[in-house]
Amino acid sequence: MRAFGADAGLSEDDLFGLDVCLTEALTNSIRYGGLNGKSPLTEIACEATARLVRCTVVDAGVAFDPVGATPPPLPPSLAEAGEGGAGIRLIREFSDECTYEWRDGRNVFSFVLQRHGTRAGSPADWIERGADRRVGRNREVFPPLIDAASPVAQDRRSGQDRRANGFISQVRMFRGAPYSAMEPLVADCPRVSIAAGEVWLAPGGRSNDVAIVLRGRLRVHVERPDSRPTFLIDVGHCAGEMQLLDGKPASAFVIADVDSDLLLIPAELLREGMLAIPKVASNLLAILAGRIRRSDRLIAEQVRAALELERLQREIKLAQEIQINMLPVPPLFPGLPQIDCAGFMRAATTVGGDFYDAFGLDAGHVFLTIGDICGKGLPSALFMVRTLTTLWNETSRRRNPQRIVELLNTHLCTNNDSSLFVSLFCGVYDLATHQFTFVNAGHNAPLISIDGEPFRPLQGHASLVAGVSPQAVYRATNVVLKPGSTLVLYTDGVTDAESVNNQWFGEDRLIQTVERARGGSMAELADAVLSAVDVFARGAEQADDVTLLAFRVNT
Amino acid sequence: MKMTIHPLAGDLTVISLEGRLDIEGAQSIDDQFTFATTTKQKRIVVDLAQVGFVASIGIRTLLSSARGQAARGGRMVLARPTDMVRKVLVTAGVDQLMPIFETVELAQGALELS
Repeated sequence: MRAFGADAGLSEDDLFGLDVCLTEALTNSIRYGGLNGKSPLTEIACEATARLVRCTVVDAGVAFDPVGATPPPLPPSLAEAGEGGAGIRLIREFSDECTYEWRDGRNVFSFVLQRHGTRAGSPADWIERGADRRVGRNREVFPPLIDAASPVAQDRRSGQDRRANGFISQVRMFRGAPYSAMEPLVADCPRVSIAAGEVWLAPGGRSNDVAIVLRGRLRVHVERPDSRPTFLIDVGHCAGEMQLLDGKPASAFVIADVDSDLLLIPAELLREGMLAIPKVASNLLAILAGRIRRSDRLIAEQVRAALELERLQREIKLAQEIQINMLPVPPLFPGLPQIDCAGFMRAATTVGGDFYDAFGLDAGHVFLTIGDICGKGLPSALFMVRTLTTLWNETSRRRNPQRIVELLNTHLCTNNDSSLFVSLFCGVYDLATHQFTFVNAGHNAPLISIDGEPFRPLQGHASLVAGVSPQAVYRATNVVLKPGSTLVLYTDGVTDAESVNNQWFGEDRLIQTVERARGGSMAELADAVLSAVDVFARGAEQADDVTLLAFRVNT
Repeated sequence: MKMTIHPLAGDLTVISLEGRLDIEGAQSIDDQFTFATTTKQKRIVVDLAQVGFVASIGIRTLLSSARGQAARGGRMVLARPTDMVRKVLVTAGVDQLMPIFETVELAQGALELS
């Protein structure tokens, strides 16, 4: 067109006007041409005289009359500014005369520009070409501006539709690739909508498409669908690209986080069509590099977490050993044949909150105790250690159970921010007088059989658990353990043991068990109780620490 | 068609276009221009000093971006069109929809006030 203008000696302004009219005419041809399946080729003929320029644009598309059509009103606001109308206005403004005809199945649009400026040129420009002026003759002055094979000629959609594919610029993989190259590839890709919570990919699954998020968000879970998501896939990013490249099945869950729209790019199209575009290939490499980095970070985190867990487990094991070492080692009182004593503590978790102990205070007195810290686990275990060490401390100084428990209580009440407490039973047995002086601080009453009588709960003054109130009052009770008497101290882990059908072991069953075992040694009795509880609770998880201390005065 | 972005203080940006905003030109900068003008809230001056020609398709690109930016709470204005280009813009009614300034400074000033 420039060459034509130069030849004709057109002024810049006239050339501009010609440009506008031709461009708008061609835009219309392209928009409305080719819609009917006929060739989209447009033919243009231009002639210039000294006074005017006349052009004719012919195409075989759908009939469209830019002359007769009233241009739509100017939009009143930016938000309402629609699509068309500008072209027609421009043609009307920049041409002095325009005509339209539908002839032989073709649109024939002509316009005339009065030449306003002059430009220095050859004198031949000024010669009026009279006889040569033949409108409609297919004399191509210059080839069509748009090649039929170029994407624009094939772009039959109006501006709104083109905007619908505007997401192309938002897709990470396509960033920087020529729009005209991507658009035809993307235009045929199917789109799906998935609802929040729908699973797009599961481990082991195969997908033939790479999914690009157009709207919404996907989340990726590496371990389980309900674990904390490893990462999110937002608008413009893709899912499924890994398995497309190496052919291996998916290794993670990809789930819609919210209602989402996905663009599905079939594998072959990606590999053969899109990866051939250099920018797409380099974008994909960058995406994969990002994945590898992120994956390395995740692995580093997991290794760190595993090491931390190992360390904690080692510490708990150590605590367990310390705790077990605090409990008495059988046989208890081997040097005192007049009594038989045995016990056990089995923790529900790695470290327990129960304890028992039996030791001599001096040549003629023996101390028995059993206790249950509220709760389980490490804090209770530490409280248990405090309790036991305090008891050892106090029993080294005095023999009065009331004072011992009072002092223990005072000690435990101070510096007890965790509000832990302990129920305990303890007593002092006089080997000579067979007197047993005991204090029950909120603990379940032991079973007693005096001189071979049936077992029953030991009655006595009931006091508050220790560690709660510094004002708590503790009182001791006396009982005579004649030879042949048996005392069974236990914690509620025994009686509260639950079976698979939600029944409790209970005191009655315990009494039955100890009655049956009264003939054997205390070690055998302890074993019998433990076995009975195990059989009863078989299949169910041990909920609480199970502890027992059996004591008999031999005949 | 060429496009250069000059970010200024805050969210103020000058985008200079160079070339012809016709069928080919509009297509060549379409995704870049859309991305630069509509993905974040900004106040944008489009400097048309180096734009020799604007067709209706180019107007559509400008209007659509201006609309997109307005939807984000920002603004887009035009500056320094040549006389012929200004005639095109006025014919199409663009000056009723977005302000056209003589200079980039005037455009900047107006945006800073808004």
